[in-house]
Amino acid sequence: MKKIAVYTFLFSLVSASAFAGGYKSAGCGLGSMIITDEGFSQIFAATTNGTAGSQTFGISSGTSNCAGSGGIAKNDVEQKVFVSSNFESLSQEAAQGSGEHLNALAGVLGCGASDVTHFSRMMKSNFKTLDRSSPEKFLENVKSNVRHDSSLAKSCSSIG
Amino acid sequence: MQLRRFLFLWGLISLLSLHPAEAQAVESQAYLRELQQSAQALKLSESRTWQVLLHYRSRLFGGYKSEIDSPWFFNAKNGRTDPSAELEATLASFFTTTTAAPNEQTPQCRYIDRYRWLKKSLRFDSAKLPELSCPDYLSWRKALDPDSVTLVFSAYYVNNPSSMFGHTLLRLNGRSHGSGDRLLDYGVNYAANPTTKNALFYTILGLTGGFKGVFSNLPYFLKVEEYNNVESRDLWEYDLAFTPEQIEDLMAHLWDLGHVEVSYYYLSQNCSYMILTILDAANPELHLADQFKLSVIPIDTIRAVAAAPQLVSRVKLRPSLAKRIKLQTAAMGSEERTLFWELSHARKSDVDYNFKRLRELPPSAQVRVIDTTLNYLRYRKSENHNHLNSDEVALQTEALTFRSELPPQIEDVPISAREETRARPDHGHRTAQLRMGGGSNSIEAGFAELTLRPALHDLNAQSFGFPDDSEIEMLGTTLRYYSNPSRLRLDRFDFVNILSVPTYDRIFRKISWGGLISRDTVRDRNCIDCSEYKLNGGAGIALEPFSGVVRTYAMIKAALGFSGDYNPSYRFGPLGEAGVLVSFGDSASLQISTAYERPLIGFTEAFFAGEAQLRFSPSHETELRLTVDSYSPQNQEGRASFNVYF
Repeated sequence: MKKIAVYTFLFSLVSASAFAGGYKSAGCGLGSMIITDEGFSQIFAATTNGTAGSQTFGISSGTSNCAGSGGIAKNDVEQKVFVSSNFESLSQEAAQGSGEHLNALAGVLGCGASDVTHFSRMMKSNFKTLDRSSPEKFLENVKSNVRHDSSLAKSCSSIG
Repeated sequence: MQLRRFLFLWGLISLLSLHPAEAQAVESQAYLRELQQSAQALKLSESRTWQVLLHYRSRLFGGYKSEIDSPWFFNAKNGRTDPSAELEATLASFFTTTTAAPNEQTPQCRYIDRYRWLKKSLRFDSAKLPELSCPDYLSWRKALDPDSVTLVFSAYYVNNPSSMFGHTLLRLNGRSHGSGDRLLDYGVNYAANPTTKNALFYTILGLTGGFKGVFSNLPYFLKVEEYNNVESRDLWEYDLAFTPEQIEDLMAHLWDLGHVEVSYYYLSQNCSYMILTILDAANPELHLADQFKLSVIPIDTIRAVAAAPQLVSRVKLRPSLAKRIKLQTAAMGSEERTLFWELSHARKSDVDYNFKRLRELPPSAQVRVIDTTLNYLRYRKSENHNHLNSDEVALQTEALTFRSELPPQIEDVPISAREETRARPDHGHRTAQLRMGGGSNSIEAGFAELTLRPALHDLNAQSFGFPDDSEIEMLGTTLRYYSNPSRLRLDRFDFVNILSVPTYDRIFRKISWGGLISRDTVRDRNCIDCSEYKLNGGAGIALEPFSGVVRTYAMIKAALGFSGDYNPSYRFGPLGEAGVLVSFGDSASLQISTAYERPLIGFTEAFFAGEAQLRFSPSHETELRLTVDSYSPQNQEGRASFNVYF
């Protein structure tokens, strides 16, 4: 029950950030942030050295609000956070068929290093049919594409 | 006889079986005393490592005090100021197994860095001091699992006062991530947790330690998005050559610091300072943090790290989105550039026509144009508070589809090695400046003057490692000695002086702005030894008619001045400023600036002033400046100064 509550909270961060422009979302525990309704410039202006959010969460576990290991995001949370905070870069690199964010997406989906190029090409060739209406749908759609690709389905371990 | 035997046996059994805990406690007490005695004999509490782990700094009048404010960080009541008592209490705590706030860990696990070091130094006997397992630490440690560490400098961001001087963070490079997905690494960030949004309170509390600084551990991709893409700041990554053992120590120290609160001083105990203390924990012999006594400017900490022998193994630039677009457009032919421009500003109805023209270019040119357009749309979106208008949204959708039909190809234009060396922040001049000089004034006699400017950079200085379009000067103080009549006076004190003159072009429609808070000498009228308190600010535009050689700017400001020598004692009105900066290679430049002030209320006498200043840099940290000023038709001045950065 506690777990569900935590994930709901994190997921709401992810969804909120999809509208807020991506980067305000965060990992969990260590990386959790507080979402405000204000524009990003105010948030940045409000923090010394321009760092994002009021980071009241410490580094270690215990009080951190995350079910992941010692406050580090678990796979599925990391995927959601990664996709929603890098949605713009991911869309662009998917159309281009290469890029650092695309490599990292293959990473969070657990794909083997040797399949990263193949993953990028798959994203490019399926670009027109990718559902980019929201980061959540995009992620689901990418996972389903990976599942339907015989070699990626074997290589990528976190596509459940 | 039987009874005595029974009693003896009974006594023996009860001794052995009923009081094992007490017996163990006695044994633990003895072992603790033994450990404390050997720690004393080895003078561990005076060792460098103990000071680094507990963040002790020597106090002005003797003794030590830890920088950490959180009471739980110490085991002894007076642990914050008594390293020896703290060490004894720490050793005692390792014998207890109770968990406690802030992270519900046993002392061995909460102070894991101290435990590791004391265990090694005193060779703990695990039979007498049983080692407890620390599952939380281990899982955190395993999730991050860095095999190397990178110090990241996020470049100057003049449009945000809190990050004008730049920012530093650490990146823990996860073993499982290839060099291609550094985005998935975690960053270690230390920042103030501000409790106010009021600019005035923010400044006051920020300067006086009114905020608490806290550590956080954020995915690096969030930092890249925030700095590189949203704020368009370059990120400089300095890979550090730590041994696996040192990385282990660094992680243990980070864990110990995870929940601490430290008073955040914007000028001294700031993000960059705390990052240095973490690097010191990895290798106490680096002595990085103790190089800084008064103020800590982020770039100076990078310089200290870069100067440490064999610490930095590689430096990498991660260019901002704006810089990537600049590099891309610079690499285009004129036809491509025109098409990029027209395409990226096309209305919905013209999009098809522009794409048709684009198709006539060779595929590689199509890729260049479309990739730059896509970057530019993202840049526009972040500049425009995360919003694109309907024309831009339609264009972006079309452009992405168009791009997906072109061949995959790396679209980024690399920065030239020469440019990168020039721009590297640790290659810039040092941030404090001492000016020694003298001159002659038409209404006064000759004078000698001395200026100390603690930070940071002015427009006419060598731009190596600094942005070439901005000036940030703080607390600059000039003392002037006049020979006739003989006297020393405070000629000028600049609390803050900011000038940001980015080039306005059709791609980057950047507005220039400037502001000044200063106590200056009244020079525009014949008023000997008169002072004025000045406050002004405004905006304008800057152009670069010859890229990298000539920069011109003009701005209109609102100016407020107070002086007992005015009648009435204030003036307020518009102030126009214009200037031109001409660079002659790296070693010399000429700056000409003019100002016309037309006060509308108060003391309303208008005035015009002009200045020409030539800079010549014989070396990286020295310069010679010749300045001619015309403050009023009667008041002209010539000055020469020799400046040293330190």
